Amino acid sequence: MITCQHCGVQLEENMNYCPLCGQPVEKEKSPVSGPVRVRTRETFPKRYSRIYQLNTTQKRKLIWEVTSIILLSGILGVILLNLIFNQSLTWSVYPLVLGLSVFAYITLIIYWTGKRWKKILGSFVVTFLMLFFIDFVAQGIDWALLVALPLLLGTYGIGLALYLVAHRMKYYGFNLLAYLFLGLAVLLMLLEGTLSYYHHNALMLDWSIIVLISFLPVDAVLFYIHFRLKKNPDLKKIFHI
Amino acid sequence: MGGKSQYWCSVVYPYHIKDMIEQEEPIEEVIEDFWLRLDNAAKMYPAILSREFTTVFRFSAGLREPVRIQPFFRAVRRVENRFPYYKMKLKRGFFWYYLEHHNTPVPVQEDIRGLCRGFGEEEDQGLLFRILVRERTISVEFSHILTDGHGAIEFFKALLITYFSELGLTVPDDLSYFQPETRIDSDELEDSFHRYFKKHLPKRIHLPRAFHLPYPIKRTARFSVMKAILSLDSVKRQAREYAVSITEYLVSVYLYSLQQVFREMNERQQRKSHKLLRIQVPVNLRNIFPSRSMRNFTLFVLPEIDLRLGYYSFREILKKVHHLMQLEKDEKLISRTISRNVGSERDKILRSLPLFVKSMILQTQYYNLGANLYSGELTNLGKIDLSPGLNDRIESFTFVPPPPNKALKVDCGVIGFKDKLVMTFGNITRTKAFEQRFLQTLSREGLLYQSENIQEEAL
Repeated sequence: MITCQHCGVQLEENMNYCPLCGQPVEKEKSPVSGPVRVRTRETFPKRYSRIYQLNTTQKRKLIWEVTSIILLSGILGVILLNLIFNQSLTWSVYPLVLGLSVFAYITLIIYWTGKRWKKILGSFVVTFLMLFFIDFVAQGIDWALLVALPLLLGTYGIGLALYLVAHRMKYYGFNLLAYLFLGLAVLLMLLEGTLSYYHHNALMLDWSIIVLISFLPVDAVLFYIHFRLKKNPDLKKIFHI
Repeated sequence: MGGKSQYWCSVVYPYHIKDMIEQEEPIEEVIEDFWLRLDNAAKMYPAILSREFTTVFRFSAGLREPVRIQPFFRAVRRVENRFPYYKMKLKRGFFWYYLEHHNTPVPVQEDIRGLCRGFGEEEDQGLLFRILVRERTISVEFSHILTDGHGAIEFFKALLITYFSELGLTVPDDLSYFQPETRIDSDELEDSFHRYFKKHLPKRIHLPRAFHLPYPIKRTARFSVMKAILSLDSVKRQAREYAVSITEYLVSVYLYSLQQVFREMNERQQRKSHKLLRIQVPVNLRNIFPSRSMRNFTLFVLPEIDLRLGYYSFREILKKVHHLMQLEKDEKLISRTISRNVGSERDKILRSLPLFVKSMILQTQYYNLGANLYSGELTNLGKIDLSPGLNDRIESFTFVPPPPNKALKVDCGVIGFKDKLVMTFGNITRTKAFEQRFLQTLSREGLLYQSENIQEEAL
């Protein structure tokens, strides 16, 4: 009887590989009896043969490499086509900006292991730069600062607020849906306000107020269901038609 | 493995258990259609599952010799087919989740990763239980969606005994366990909650919220496990001295330790927290209602003390716990809880809601009818006995309870084997203060223990 040096189970004499851990049997080194030093939980060096056996870092690297090759070759392809047919860079600037932005997002997600708020800030900067350059190549700087920036700030702010609210919840229920509606209503107000300021140089709120007012009773019902359930769990009573 | 005609299985319709369709055909021919509704207790779990709150519990047996892998593989192949109702995948239906049979050999894994992790498609082939081996230790981990402690321990016992028989050891003829080549009884598949459901029982009184440990929880990689080994005889002697059972004794220690934690909190914290200390103690309903079900059939009794009435001495707690547990194990009271749980499931409106809405409701219900109502959980699986000859081959048994939820923070599992009582504390907080308090209480009672951390981090 021999003992696997990796997982510590006993193997038959004719076994060359341990069927449990998959490691080759080191027959010369294996003592017949006596203590065996087996690897501890998750500290051993891994060998990989299939994609699904890769660890997280290896998977991330693989995803980054594959997407980078696809994106960069795509960008080069469209630039070449643009140059061949138009002898200058015209329409290919848009896929170039979009492709580089996607590349920046993926790099950010895969390789930025720092604090979460830094990642969020990074994604904000990338998104804004993408919109800025699209605006820039289209007609000079026009809507990027007046529309895109406030809307982007608003979206991130509302998203962050919803995240913090959800994070503080002990459990998710209808209250989460209610907060989502509320966030959406505020975002729509911001959208209308920004657009009206951009077009008319004045803050005019019209339809977004109606949306907000329509959402309020829905929110009230959702909060009612959520907090009513907390006190009285009789579902039949609450959902009785 | 036995021939084709030796076992069969059924599709179970819980609302009509008596009219259960029993297709007396070989399993290979009906296996494509073999699926099960989740039992009443399991219905809750898919809605509340998360990466950390996995509802996965573990049994481990530490053997005297390293595991011989080839006989062990043979034992696994024999045993897994005796329990086809555990080789299931969780699937999403439109109205409910359901279990679908997955007819593939159960993978035996090397036990090197964290305890009680959730199940994955790649690693576990989507199954809801896993078999783990490392050196001298054999373990099984089960999702509560499949079964409770009783079902899992019966599977584990069958696996160990079959392994020993593969090693050539003599298994006593009168030893009661699920032998691999025996016919599967349709009762094993039944959802016994539906069988013992009674209509029109009065509603259970809604309980007020209970005290929760004030410790902050870790942000990630939260589940840590600590084990304490005590002398079973000493604990038994101590419990007998107070004329209570071992479970009642340990629950009293739990409550006393919680009271100590409460007393050590500052005045502001005390004012803000709930003052009911309540422990959830699972009860195997098979001891109350005749059932051979191998799926979930467990409910809880909730012994409590109310600190608004003043502080309790240990003896006072013992007395209260003893009487409350005896009272709450009453068949009629348990029937009322079954009636409430099954009644909600049968509710026509609730049944007709799409799954995602239902999941939100179930999640709310879980906290309101469960987690918020108790301060601690203690599961005692009792004493394991395989027979003197086979017991000699095993050094110890360990039961690791599922990772506790965010409200509960710490839970406790107990299992006895030979002269040892092994207590295991699952913890997701940044401190081991409660465990220390618990063990101090045991020391004060004159009970000696050995403790060790068996997992410091990570799921």
